[in-house]
Amino acid sequence: MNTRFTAKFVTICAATGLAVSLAGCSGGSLSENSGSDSAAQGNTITLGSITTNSGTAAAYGEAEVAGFKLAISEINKAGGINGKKVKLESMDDKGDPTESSNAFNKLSGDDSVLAVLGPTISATTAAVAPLADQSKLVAIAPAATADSIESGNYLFRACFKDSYQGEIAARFAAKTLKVKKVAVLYGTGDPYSSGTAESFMKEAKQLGLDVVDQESSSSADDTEYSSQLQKIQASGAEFLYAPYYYSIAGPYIIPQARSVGFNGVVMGPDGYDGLKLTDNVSLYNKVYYTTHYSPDDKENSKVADFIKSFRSENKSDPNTFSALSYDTVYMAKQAIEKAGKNPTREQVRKALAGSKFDGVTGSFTLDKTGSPKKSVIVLEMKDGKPVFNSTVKPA
Amino acid sequence: MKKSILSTKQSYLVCALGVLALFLLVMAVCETGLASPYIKGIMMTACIAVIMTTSLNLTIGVLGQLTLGCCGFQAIGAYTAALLSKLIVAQGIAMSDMSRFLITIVAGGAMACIFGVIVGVPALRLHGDYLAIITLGFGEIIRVIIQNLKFAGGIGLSKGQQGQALIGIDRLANLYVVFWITVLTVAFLFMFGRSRYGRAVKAIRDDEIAASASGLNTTYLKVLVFAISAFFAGVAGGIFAQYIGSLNPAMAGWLNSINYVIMVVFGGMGSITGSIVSAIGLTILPELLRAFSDYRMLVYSVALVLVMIFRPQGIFGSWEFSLSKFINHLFYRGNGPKRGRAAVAVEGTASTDGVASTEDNATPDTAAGADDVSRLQDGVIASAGIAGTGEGSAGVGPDPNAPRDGGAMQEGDDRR
Repeated sequence: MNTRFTAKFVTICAATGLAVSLAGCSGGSLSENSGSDSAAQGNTITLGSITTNSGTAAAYGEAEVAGFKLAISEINKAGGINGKKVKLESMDDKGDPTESSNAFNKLSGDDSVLAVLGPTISATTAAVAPLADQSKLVAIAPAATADSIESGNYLFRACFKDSYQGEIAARFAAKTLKVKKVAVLYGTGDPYSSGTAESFMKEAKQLGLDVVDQESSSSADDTEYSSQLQKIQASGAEFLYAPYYYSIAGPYIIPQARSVGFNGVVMGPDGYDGLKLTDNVSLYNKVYYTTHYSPDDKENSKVADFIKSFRSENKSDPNTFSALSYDTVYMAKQAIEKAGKNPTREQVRKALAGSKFDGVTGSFTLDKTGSPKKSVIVLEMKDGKPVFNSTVKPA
Repeated sequence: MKKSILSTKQSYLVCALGVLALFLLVMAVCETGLASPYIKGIMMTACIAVIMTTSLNLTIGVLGQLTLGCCGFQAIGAYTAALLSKLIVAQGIAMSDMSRFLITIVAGGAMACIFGVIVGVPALRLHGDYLAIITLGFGEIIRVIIQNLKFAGGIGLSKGQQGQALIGIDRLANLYVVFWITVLTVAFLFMFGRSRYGRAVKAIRDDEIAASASGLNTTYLKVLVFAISAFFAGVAGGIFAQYIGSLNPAMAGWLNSINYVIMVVFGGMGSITGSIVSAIGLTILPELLRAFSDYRMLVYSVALVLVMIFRPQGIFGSWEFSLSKFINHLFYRGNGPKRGRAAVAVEGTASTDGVASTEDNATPDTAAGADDVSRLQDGVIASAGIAGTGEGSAGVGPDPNAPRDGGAMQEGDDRR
């Protein structure tokens, strides 16, 4: 009898606790909403952010939030946007599309939010895109690179899309390296690999390069490429575009290419970041890859300032995600300023669409799908270390 | 032993009215603009979670088999519904959005059901940890297969690109319709649990050898339960696809499945009330905890740990809420004061929050039909009843009147 009573007592407590917490919290959020409504007319502009701060991609989200916070504190120190202080309303989505939709709905219900920064990964961004259209509130994704998320009119991004790197690699081969005969090796089973290879070949043909051979593997995880590489070597190519990830390109493709006698240039996309090397680092000379951001970028004066202020704020060096998210905030700022004194969300979208922007990760123009045509950084491997080579400007 | 002031028919009516009142409340909240898109979105997510959790509860709580592949079935349903919806549009078949929505979610459920049978037949020869591992592997297989289907990526069908998120799915899910689908699901699952099939399944849970010795076809019943559970997971997936508008193969992963298992265990295994309350509660909780920002998931986990320490059988154990019983208690307080208070507490939760009340009162609809039965004993009695009457034949259980007696008998015991 006694234990039954205890059990029931706990149940009642739990239920009451739940009830109280529900009541308390819903009341809290209501008053918060009404408070921010008045803030819209007042002296604050709210930027919402949706990032992945818990779960497997949490490191990306944390780096992004650090970038947002740095940019916003700089803007506030310099007097805010249109004389109004900027506030960050930061939301976590756990990398879950449902949570990112909830977070977006919450932000869109707050009238003082003029733009949403994020989400972090492509899966959550795909879920937010239709909501952005529905509520006519722009979302600027700092680092969601998948090609497929280009939909609707209210989703923009600060990073280039995956396949755009193919175009840039072709331009780099034609204009900087001035090669004539190029070859491609890609994994058909992987959209990242096949997408970039496809756009490389398209652009290469337009630039008058001779695509002498195209070889493929069934997946981007294969470890044996000798037969394809022998054909490429036999075709007389001087340049090989091999869009794979660091874990495959480093230990397998590049050493195997060198062992069949291919001594030309090997180039890849940002999947080469953190390339896994074998002991013989000299194999990796004449290897190039494209990326979003480099701390050694000497051609962009904003980079040094950014690194300096990031270090003083966070006691650590910024990574690509922080750099892209830092730019995202300034993109939003530029659009809001351009839209006028007390802009509506619709005006912010109009101001953002097709706008030009200069940031830490390069200068760019947003195309009609909301993805930027931007300058891309090319890194070169020298004695096993990536070194800044040049910036490739868009066409 | 007759205690109820309501006849069975009357109690069904009371519940139907209760659900209707709740629906009107939801409608009022939505139509007057009191509920923002945010709140509506959470209500929708909660409905999906309720369907998932109550259907999973059938396998975990009623059949007593731990499965970790429910999101595999959800993903099958989601992709089937999304691709079928795109196909209907691409073929130019004229139909209203509503019928397209309903057809696609039923198709999603049916496809998941087929896979449930395919997986269930070999997998259910095992139980316990082994079954959990097999179903876990199944979820991963589904994920990898979807990842490699060209027509399940990009914008879908032939134009797709494998490995990509499936995007541009028409967002046809309407909260009112989803509400009623949820009510139907809960009603079906509740009635299944009370039917002779349900009693037979509980007998298997309590003692498989005894159940089989009394003539129950245990394999058939286990696969049946698995298939029903998969069907509703598929329906939930179909709704999810047409609410969120984009799909990712990662949704079939085991982490998501474990999330639903947590909801079932948290609410109390075998209690539909518990499943509903915990599905809603654990959907809302992470949203409420947004105030804690960075520590949000930490607080969430601590809440789970605390419940499991102080209430290892889950919030509701095996207890079911019943609206007609509640009414009974209002009139005859002397009958069971402690029960009455528990019921009031649940009612209190329900009335403080529109979302919570949405589903809380969905239970009475289903709970109303029967007299109260404590689940564990119910199971024992069910198996005893089957053992007594199912002699030798392949029949699944005793005649439909038997459980009532069993329930009443047990109720008598319970009150002493």
